[in-house]
Amino acid sequence: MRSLIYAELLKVRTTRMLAGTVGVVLLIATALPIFYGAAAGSGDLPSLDPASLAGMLTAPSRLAGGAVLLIGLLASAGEFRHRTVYTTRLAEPRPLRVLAAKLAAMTVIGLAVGVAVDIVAAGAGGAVLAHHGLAIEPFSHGIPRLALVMPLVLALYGVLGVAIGAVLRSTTAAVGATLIWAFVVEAILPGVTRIPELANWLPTGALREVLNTQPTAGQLAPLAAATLLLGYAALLVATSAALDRRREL
Amino acid sequence: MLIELTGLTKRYGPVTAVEDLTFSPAPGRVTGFVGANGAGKSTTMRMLLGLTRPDSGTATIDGKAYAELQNPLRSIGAMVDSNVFHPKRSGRNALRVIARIADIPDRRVDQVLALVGLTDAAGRRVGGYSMGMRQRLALAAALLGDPATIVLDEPANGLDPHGVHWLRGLIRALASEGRTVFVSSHLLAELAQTIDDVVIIANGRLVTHEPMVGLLERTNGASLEEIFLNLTNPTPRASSHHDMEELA
Repeated sequence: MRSLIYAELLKVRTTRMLAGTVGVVLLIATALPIFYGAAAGSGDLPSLDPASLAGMLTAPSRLAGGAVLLIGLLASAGEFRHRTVYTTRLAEPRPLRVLAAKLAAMTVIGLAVGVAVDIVAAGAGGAVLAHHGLAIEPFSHGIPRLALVMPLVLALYGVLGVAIGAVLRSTTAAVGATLIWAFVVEAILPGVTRIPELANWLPTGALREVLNTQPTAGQLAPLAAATLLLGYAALLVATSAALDRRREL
Repeated sequence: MLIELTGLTKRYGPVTAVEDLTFSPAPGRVTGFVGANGAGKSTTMRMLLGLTRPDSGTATIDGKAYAELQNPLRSIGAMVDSNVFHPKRSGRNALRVIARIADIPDRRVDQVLALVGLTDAAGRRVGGYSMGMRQRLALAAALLGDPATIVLDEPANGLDPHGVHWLRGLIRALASEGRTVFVSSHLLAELAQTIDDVVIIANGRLVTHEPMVGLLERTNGASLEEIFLNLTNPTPRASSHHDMEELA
């Protein structure tokens, strides 16, 4: 199994997609605190204070999550697009083992990208606060928890990406379905069902709740939201496994 | 290593691609697999390699289905298509990925790249390879595990005359090392120079499986192409310009 996981990591590393995507994410994670520092206190934006570091840390979370989700999608659905699934299947004929290796590899990548985003965003945020003569308080304002949760959230994004790609087997369909689900279905469903709280229980809402430092009534606790997301990933993986029993290459 | 196909049948809706196919390529020999387009050659090979599920029958390697083999690349190397590599990955990295799955060291990657003549192009992206180069890379992938059995589906596709000549030598060299080679091709004249035994199928059914020597003797030295045409389509066919004019 270790060889399979290494092979999956090698697959991701040997195209420019990982470096390009993560490079853009880190660039934006660096730029966001600078823009935030420049715009703070104007318009609706509150003035900078030591607690602003928490906001700067979470600011790139959606972008980083989307990037890791995309890497996960391409890691699984991309095998079908480029037909590399044939060489993979010939080397390891048990598709569930390959899927498990992909999930493990994307967990590693999600964690690594999360740590990198933490370091870059915290570094840039700290520099902005220092530039404005404010104290840097990295162990207050829930920052340690956020720094720990960010890599876990990105790992979850990666796992979801792999699972969606494995079910749909098409990069176009997987990206399209994810966008439609996130921006259309999840926006409409709570209204159609007349259950506004439903939004918190759907994947995008749950992802948002994992990073929520102060959940209120009706919102999911971060741990519950993470567990829910793992449940969605497990459901997709089980669907993929069931479909693979009937589907051929 | 013994390959056995027994009662193999595959249907796609109303179309029967392969029907009750039973044969076993002899170990240590080169067996040619011949059939018209759509005769079921690729489907048969894919069933052997576990890429397609048969509706009935079995395809085994030393008594085991492909999916039951531990580290299959060490037992059987296969080339099913040349377009099975990520275009943005270099040739060497494409093979390293496969080697990593099968616990094959990177030095073997360089060995097979040299064997197929791709050492100089190993660092280039596969997307920039010609079809012949991709074919060679696919062959290299099949040889990665130094397997005792090699299955090649149309390996001469896209190769220039030099490449075809080289491929013939490679297949003979692999067979001289005692390996079983099971190879399909449309280039019958070329195939006849390479193979020890021939399996001919038509409409998914076995027509004949016998040594080339015996087949050629039995048919008074006819070419493989003539034998194939006669066995798979017994209707009289035009053999000269005069005959063609008469048919017209």
